[in-house]
Amino acid sequence: MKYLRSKNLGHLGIYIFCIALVSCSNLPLMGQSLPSERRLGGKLVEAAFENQRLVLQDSSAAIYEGRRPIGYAVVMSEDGYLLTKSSELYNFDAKTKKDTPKEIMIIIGDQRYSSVQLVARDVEWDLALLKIDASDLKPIKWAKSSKVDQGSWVVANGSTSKRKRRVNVGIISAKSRKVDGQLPVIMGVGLLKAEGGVKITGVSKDSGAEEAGLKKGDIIVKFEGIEVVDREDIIDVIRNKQPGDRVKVEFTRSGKKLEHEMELKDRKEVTGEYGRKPSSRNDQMSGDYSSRRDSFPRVLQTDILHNYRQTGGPLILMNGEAIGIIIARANRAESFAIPLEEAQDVYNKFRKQL
Amino acid sequence: MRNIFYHHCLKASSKGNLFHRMVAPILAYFVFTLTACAERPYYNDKKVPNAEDLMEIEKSLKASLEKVRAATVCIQMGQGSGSGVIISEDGLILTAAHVSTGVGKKMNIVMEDGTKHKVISLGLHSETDAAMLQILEKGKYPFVEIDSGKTAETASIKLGDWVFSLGHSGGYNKDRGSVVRLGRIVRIADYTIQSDCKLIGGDSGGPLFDMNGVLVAIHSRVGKVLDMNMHVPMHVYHTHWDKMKESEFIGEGPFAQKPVLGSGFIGIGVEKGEKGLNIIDVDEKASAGKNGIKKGDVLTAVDGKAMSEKQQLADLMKTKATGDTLDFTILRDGKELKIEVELGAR
Repeated sequence: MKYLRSKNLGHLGIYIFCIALVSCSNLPLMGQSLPSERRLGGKLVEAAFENQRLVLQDSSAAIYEGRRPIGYAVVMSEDGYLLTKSSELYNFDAKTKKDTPKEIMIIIGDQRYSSVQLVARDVEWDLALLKIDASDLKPIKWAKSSKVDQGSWVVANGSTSKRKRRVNVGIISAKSRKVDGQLPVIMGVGLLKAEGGVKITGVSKDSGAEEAGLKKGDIIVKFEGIEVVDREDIIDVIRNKQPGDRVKVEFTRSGKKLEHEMELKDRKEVTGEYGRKPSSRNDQMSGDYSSRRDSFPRVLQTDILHNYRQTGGPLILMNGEAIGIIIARANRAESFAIPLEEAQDVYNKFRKQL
Repeated sequence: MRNIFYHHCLKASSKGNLFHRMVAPILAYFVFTLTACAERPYYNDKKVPNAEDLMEIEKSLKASLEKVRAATVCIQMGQGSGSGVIISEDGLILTAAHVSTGVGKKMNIVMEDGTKHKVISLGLHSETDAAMLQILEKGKYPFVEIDSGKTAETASIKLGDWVFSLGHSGGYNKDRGSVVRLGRIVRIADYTIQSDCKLIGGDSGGPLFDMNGVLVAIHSRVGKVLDMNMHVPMHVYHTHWDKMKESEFIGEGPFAQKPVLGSGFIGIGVEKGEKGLNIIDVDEKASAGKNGIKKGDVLTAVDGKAMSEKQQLADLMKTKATGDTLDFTILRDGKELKIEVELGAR
């Protein structure tokens, strides 16, 4: 600066002017806050997503239990088939270990549907098929692929009034992937690798294994006709099963070869425990996450913070096309959606079963 | 970068030939050092975006993300993990003080692709939660550009600016990669800025970028409300830059506690031997036992310094604290071994 001043005073003015200009435009507003309506979840920013909101209003359903919204569903067909997250449709009683379907009502657009049929459910993906009596619904438009770049805007249903939906916005924030967790369907036994198969180390009360008469010490040699070398061989078979499915178990007891058929059950109906306990520090700092929030074969991850009563609806792009179904608020800062390819597979499976 | 600004500046303020040839470049240089002046995205100065602006935001985010992701790292400490970002080709890393926790500590980083490197913590500023690390292996590392504004007034970031965060939430996960989140600057104070990018444990120390991919702050702590999270702005790093590079522990907390010298505990009993110090007793529960030191070993050197008297080890321990790492040279069955021992608490 000294150099400039001594060399050419005339330009000093320009210099100062320039600094002032730059400084002014960069002056942080100390201690001031951005008004809440201008934040990412604020009303004024939400208003820019009006086109996407209209898609949600018409092509997704709001599900109510009494007066309370408990989730959303994707409109799959003109004649009233809806795909949604399954576990939020049930009340689970830890004492009786039983799921009871909630009494639900549905609103699409401004139309109410009080007669809702629960047609099918899949526990692997935690999806369910609903049917309402309708004829001219607007089915969701699916994108060509769920493969979109990280950083892409995604829009979901936020809170809602009876008449008007609100958006909840964010971005695709990580790679699509498998999320591990406890399988939702179980035999109800403890297993340990042993010579010639897998040894049963314990049998749970109220489990399918107990009902079928399996005992501690039995060595499983075949499961659904597949040779068993270690635990994983059994788990791989169970992974794709539903509660109520029956499986063939070949085992040896005191040297004798036996074969029993047993029923696989919903994990929580055996253990009485629902969902992962909020054990980590990260979990304790939150609270609004879904009970079923892990053990999905593949998910998309977004930075949208749904609460557990805002899942089940479509995840849409800026062009209004859906790339998945919102399946869980996983923790403080992560939400998952089932990608459209897998959601469509499950839907097609449901329709074939009818 | 400088050239872009140079043209930008000329366009805005000058036509003269003399100015063009002589003064403007100097001027541009000075102004450039005051402010990171990559083209400021126009949408930052709109109070509310419209649908078109949203697409522009998405475009910048995708372009910048590609540039900066490779420089974002997961930092693995003893029990937990945090994040950090490489800011020079030779591997200087910025992170939070509560992630590095002290000076001269050795830890590992994991790059986006899973590659691991050893790092050592340089200095930190314990009052604002700023810290530096250095990758130990020489190499050419991916790095990001940082906001050059030296003070809060000259920092490029403004209230309402669109920003994005990266971090290895909850630790490194190769299938998932680092997690990106979008938000706006919602509050600016003297030594912190707040954004509504969502954060979670493990993100601490990770980078907050403007939409050009310039590093503007480091994640410090999560807010009580999910979308109010604190970051340490770059000007705080600039203020303490030299001292941090010289591995100075600055300030009295609360984000890191000064080590208490002499507090470190190895858990061995020694006596003078022929080739060094004979280890005659090992506390299996203390760091010696945990790191595999055995009764009968001969300690010949610590951190490269030969050990022949008990007092030498005692004197060395007076200069070390809990959490410091010592390199032991051990003779066992005639073979020389190198064992790293992290000091426990007495």
